[in-house]
Amino acid sequence: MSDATDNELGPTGCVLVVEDEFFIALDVKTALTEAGFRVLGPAGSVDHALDLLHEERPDAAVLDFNLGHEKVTPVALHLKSLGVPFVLTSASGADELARHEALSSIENLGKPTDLKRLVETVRALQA
Amino acid sequence: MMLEDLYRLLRSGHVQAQGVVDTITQPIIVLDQNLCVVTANNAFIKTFKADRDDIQGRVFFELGNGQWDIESLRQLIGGIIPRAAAVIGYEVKHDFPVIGQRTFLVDARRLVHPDDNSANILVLFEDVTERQRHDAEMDFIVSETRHRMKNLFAVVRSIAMQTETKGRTAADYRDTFLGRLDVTLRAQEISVSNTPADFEALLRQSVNPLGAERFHCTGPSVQLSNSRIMPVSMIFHELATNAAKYGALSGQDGEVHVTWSLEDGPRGRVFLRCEWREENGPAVTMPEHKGYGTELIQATCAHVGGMVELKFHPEGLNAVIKFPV
Repeated sequence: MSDATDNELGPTGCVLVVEDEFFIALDVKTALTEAGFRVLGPAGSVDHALDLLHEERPDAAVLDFNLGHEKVTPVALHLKSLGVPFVLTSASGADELARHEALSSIENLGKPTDLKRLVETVRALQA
Repeated sequence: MMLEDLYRLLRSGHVQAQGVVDTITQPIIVLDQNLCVVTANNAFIKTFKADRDDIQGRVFFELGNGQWDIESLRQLIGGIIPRAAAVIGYEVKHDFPVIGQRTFLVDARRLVHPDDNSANILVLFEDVTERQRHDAEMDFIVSETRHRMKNLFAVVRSIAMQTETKGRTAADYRDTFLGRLDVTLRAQEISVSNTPADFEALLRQSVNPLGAERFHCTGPSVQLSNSRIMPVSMIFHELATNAAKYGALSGQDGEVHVTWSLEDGPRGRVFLRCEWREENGPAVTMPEHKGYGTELIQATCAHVGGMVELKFHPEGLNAVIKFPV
């Protein structure tokens, strides 16, 4: 069962993962997959993430902030326009994140990320 | 004492005092009880590019088109005479007409006088513009370093997590982990230099210690963007490691041939299509369980929006890798 509009708490949704460090991306993907989610991506760049969003609307998203030499903000803006909830996993400080309107009031789980907490947070986003 | 001697004594005392004031590199002015300029030292004239004749006897707050006319500073200095107080380190950030945006720390105190009835105020200015800029730069570097360290730590941690333990000896795990860690750090070194990397150079670097003379590559010169350095290094590191362990480079006569070309892909992007072909190695059998190395190669390709096809032919592994450059 992977109905995005289903409001049951079952962890069956699709989660977009955007993270440029692919070992970390794999780690996040493994944790979410083991928790029963289907992972869209992981995408390592803004372009790649937007391509994936073009194909499918996820139920939630996990975003890193710094993607090499670009920032994740265009993806965050697009997710906001789609009404998809998301959470950040960035080593950047709160000051820097606060400078971007698209990221204000978005929770940042920090880095290294506690993957158990990440899974719980994504579950809560979906509920 | 002769009048002439007295004059000489007074004069040398005055010259010496004036010399001290003018030698001090910090801008200094003396104001009278009406806050008019009595004296300004050389440093003040120089720093604020003022004309001595223009400022002498003028009200301090009117100087330079009223550049010091800041209400709180006016209240502070104005309050010194009646209360014999001092203003210390009052920060003035201002875009000054001639010298531009500057930050000064202003000290103002009653001038010391033997009779203790002086109505004059000594005002000192300390230009902290450069120091503040330097401090801000340092803060930036420190926070950037902290960010990078956290990130690097997270990467190392995830390599450890993503290196499989099942069916492996501790020594095997350690070697695999360290191999991946080395590739990661080397790729980061190249990325930091912020210049595009040559595909062939990355390829050779990944294979190099494992048998350069049995490694043949042909293809056009391709420059890879920064974000591709790490994934591409890892893909070929894994392919080369597997070739050395189980594939063509594990035998005496095995060879690896790599050819590549550029082709147009969806959404107007250019893809690199690369074929990795192993020959003359030991007979290849399909790995029993999907080996972690191949899974990592697939995941890495997918991560950069590419794809990989691995074919375990009996005469050697054939891998076709495609990713947008």
